[in-house]
Amino acid sequence: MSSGNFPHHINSHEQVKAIRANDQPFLQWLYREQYPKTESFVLQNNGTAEQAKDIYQEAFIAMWRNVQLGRFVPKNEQSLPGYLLQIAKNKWLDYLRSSGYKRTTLLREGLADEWSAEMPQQEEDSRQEEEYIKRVRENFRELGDNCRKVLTAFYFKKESMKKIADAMGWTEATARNNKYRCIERLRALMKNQKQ
Amino acid sequence: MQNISSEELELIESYLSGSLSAGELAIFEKRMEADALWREKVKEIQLLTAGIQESALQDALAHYHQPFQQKAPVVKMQWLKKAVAAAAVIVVLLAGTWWFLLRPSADEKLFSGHFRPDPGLPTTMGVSDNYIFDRAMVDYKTGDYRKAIAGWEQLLQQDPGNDTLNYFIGSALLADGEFEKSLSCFDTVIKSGGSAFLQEAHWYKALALIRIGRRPEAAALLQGTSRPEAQELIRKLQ
Repeated sequence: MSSGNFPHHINSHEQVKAIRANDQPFLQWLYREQYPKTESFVLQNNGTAEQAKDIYQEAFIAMWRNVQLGRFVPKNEQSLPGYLLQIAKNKWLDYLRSSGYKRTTLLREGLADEWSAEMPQQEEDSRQEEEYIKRVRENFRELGDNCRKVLTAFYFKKESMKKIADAMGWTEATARNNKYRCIERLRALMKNQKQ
Repeated sequence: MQNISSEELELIESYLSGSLSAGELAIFEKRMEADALWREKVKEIQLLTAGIQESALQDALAHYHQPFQQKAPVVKMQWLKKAVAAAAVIVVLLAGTWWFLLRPSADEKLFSGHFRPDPGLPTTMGVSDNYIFDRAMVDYKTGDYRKAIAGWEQLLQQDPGNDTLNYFIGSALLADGEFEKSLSCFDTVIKSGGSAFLQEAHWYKALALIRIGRRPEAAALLQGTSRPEAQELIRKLQ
């Protein structure tokens, strides 16, 4: 926690609040704070900058999700950035050990185990939840423009129904109704995909 | 799929965002305890809204990443003309300075024209017992020469005359620009006689000598190597 413009001395409780509120300056600060360390780790372990970016973004979303769902509760202000970096490193080491990565000559098992030993195994139900969320993401992209706009504004940007209604040129009641319909459409897409 | 009414959706949203009053929260939690179907509905909405947010977050991450992209930043047009003019002046000045002060010597050019680092040995996971050696070889192959040298030097302490260690430490030093230091390592390989790395040690020692301006010694050394490029290099040295 050395650099950056964000007043990062906010305590861990405030960090959780910022994550849950999708506070853009905080998310951006956190992202930029830990990326260089991830990139140098990946580059030192036979990866490219592009791979570092992909693995880091996956890790960032995983960190965000685990805070949102209450699976990770940081103890102090260093915990959250440390946790993010740890997920990124583990994901890269998992990739190196995966069957997709054939060049088995490059990294010894022992080294990889040292890192992964620090992360507990994900439980089966959280794995199922992750699968489900992944499907939500896929189906969300299938929704029409207006639905994606309304749902993003309400759930991600935490905008009020009044503000959303004004932006879309609707009454507040219409906005509320449309948001509900969009959720129902998304649920229907999920149901059809399942069958 | 269970039916979730508009009112239920809003109630669950208020619960998830923590905006229920203490009284409402108590009622909500009682219902959570007693009603399994209700718990399922709450879970479904929680995961749905998490997925929606993750989609949006994914788009935001692309924006956060911009400073790390290797592409040049986008410059607005009105700045561009001024920037191009200024850059042109700087380029001319720098090129001039470089030409007069920093231009590569003939030795440097000859070295860089012929030097390709030794590709290194394959490392096999789980087969070799020599973890430190293999680990350093991985560092060497990924261009982390200093780390590789540190690893191999650890092993060299127990076996200072080892030709393989000396050869690869020399190779790493050379690739790292430590030309003079690499000489003694290659010498040890050459003196050990019969080393599998003898030809390579001659070749790389000759390149190191060229790089530091000791051409006659390099030419003499190259006479004794069978590498095909050696003859061409001898010709250039004359």
